[in-house]
Amino acid sequence: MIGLNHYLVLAALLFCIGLFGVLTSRSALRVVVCVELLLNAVNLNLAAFSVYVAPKEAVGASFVIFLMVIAAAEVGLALALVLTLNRTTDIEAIDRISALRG
Amino acid sequence: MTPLEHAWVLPLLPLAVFVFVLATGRRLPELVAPVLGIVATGTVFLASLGMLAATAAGSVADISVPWFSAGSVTVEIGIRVDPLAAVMVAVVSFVSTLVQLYSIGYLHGEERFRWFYGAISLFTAAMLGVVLANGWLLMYMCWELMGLASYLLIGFWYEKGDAPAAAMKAFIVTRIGDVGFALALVLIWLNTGTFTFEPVFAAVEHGSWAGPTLAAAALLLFAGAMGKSAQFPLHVWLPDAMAGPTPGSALIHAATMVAAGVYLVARSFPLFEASPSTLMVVGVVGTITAVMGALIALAQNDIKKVLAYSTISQLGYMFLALGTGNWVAAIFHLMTHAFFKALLFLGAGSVIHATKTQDLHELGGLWRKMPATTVTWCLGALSLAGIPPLAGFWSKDEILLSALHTDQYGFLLAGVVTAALTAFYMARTTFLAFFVKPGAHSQSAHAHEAPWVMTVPLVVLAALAVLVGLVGSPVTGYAFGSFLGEHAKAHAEVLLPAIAVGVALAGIALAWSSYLKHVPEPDRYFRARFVSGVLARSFLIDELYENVIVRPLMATSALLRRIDHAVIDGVVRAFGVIGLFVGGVLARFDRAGIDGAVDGMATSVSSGGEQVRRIQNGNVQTYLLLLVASIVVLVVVFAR
Amino acid sequence: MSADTVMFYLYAAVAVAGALGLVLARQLVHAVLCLFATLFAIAALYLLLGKEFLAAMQLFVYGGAITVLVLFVLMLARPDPIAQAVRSGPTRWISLALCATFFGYLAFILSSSSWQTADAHAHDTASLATILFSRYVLPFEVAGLVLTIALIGSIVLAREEPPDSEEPEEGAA
Repeated sequence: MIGLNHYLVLAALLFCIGLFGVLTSRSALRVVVCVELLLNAVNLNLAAFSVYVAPKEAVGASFVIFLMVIAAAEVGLALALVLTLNRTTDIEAIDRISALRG
Repeated sequence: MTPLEHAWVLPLLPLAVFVFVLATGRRLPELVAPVLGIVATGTVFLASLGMLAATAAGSVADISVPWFSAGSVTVEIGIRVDPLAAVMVAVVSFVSTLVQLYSIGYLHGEERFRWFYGAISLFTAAMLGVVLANGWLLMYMCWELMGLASYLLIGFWYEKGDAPAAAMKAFIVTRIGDVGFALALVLIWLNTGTFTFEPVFAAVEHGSWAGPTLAAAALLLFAGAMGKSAQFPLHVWLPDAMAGPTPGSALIHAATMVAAGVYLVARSFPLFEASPSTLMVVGVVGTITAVMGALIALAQNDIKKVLAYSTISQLGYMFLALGTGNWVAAIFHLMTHAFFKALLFLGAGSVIHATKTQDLHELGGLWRKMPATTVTWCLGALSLAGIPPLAGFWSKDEILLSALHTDQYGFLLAGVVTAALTAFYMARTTFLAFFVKPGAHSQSAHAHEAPWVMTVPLVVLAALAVLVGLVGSPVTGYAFGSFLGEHAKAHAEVLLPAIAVGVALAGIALAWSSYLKHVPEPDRYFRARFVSGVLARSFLIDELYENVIVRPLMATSALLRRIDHAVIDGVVRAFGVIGLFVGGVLARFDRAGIDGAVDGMATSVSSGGEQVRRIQNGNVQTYLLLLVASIVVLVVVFAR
Repeated sequence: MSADTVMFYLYAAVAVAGALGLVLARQLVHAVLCLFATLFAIAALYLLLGKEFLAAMQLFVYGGAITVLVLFVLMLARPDPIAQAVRSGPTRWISLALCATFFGYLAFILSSSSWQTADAHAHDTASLATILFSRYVLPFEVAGLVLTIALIGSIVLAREEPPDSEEPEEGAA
């Protein structure tokens, strides 16, 4: 029987893969996409908790909806940023951006 | 709900003005911003009169609403309207209203005219929040907002000269103190589980919270107060803060915000009372600051700098009063100081507006050109010098008496010395700016009296600088003290006030003979040449003063100023220098490695340096990597 | 092994494979397609959990909107191949070690902790709607506002600079 822990471990694995992607991508676009993966892992967690731990009310599921909204907003803005970056600079790889250099 | 419980609306009025000004920007007609700001703070002032009446009748409002709850913890914020809060609201809104009126004239034609009103409104809202808060949490939040408003106003002319650096300095130095405040919040929460004043005071009174953590919390709160109120050694930001527009300085860096530290200690007084050693610390810091500020003010040639150091000194006076355990005297002096110092700053602003200079040696003889400014300035200066029956006399007297009654003769002596010095430097400034014959560099020739929007606030403030002291004088039976809930103490002393007035008069006389009777050459008092010749005989008294009193004082003052700049700024700077040094060492490692690349050893150093340098390479992903690494370490260490 | 178990492992495998493809693929187009596979698998997992509405939303929002949007941007931006590659060198290995440690530790904690699970009982979409429009109606509205602001923000960001931009439009001084 599939239990809660199965889902949690799967979500943790997806999260760590996404994190690896965020850390190692040279392309801003890939970073954005990997962040989506992180959010999805969290969503999976919430949905699983909602079903297994607090089945009386759909609180966890409603949080998934909110997260999806945030993700949609985030991806819209991030992609606009990618486009702007692409247009205003000739820098392609984000590990070349060092405006924050101390 | 009683009317008092609606007081939470008051800070929102100026806040609404701020938001409105921010949102409309240039589309707003020029004069709408001041009208809105003045209407908002004027309304608050009228309401505060009602609050004064209601609290005098004995009603107090203290309401809390839950802000948020996490698990079993509920954090509440709320407001408290009691006599202390009512007094502060009245002072803040009144001075703010006058300053805004005055600024219409002072900042007329300024490019960011509306923005000034936005920032002043933000400040007023935050300050009202601080004084109305019924707990340290809300107070802290508004406290930080006040810091932001102060930063914005110091940096108002951000394209000119030192303003950005001064703004940054003010923000960072006060932040050092605010770390203390934040830590105090943590201690208060850990020990009492609430941020609200009343339950915490009850816990302190019942002894359920006592011991070193209580003293530590009090001292940390005092650290916050020291930062905001420019107390030694965190006073260095205030003189630089004079880079902002003068009306802003009058409101924020003289009358109200810098006094918030005094208010904080007065408000948290039960915490301090519970551990006498903390009170002693407060008093000693206040004393050092009072004397030091007054000494440095002696040697300043910038009219605003004199007032800035004078403010530092007077704030020290208030902390001295707190140190003697008499918070009523501190608040009384805070109130009178707010009026006469705002008056002096606005007067200085009027002078600067008319002559476009702040240098005392480029002024002089202004009394013919600017009679209204001169008269009101003199009233303010006399009040500050503590001449009866002006306001400053009563509040200063109260502080000295309280030092006498608690047998703290060190504080008493310092208080008297400061009073003398204060009288001297104020008289000196007054004579140099308004009464001496204009020198060769004087800019006074084309000076003219300020427009009515600027003189009316001066006159109103001057009236208050004369009269407001009476509320704490025997004439009204020490109404102020009993209003704040302290019983009037025995005030049978005549000798001490007489001594205080005597030394103040002596200071004025000394300044008169040094600066007015014999017109000094510019900066003569810094070279202080011994003039030879028979004619010099008639100057013997002056020379005596000069060599025995003035010169050592000047030297001490210059020395203190140098210490001020070298040591205290140095300590602040040292942190930066250490950072630079470490960076330099690392960079040298790096360079050495690259130069000696042939060497195997050097190559490893090089890559080592490169690795270390990579920490600060501006690459977001590397930062993120470090973040993740830290999280992993924390998880591994702290998770079960 | 019940059918549910088989399904779970199947979807999980697809999700993980897709995720790995996302972070390892040389070309961005492939990465995005891999992401789509993962998102699809997660939608299937929602179904398995009895969350039909979430599954549908997942497909609409992620599978439909976000993936397509990313592909569009990919076509517009045309990143060059170097930029598409993933980072190499020590960063990669440090990241790998960190993420592996993190996962190992999470898996250890998760497998050694027990949850107070009620009977797995999937509530229907109606209960989700009820809670969204009663207790969470304010956050719901705020979320709508956030989305609108993000929409405006991305238009402002991505808009080409107008050629005649001599009029400095300052909202606030």
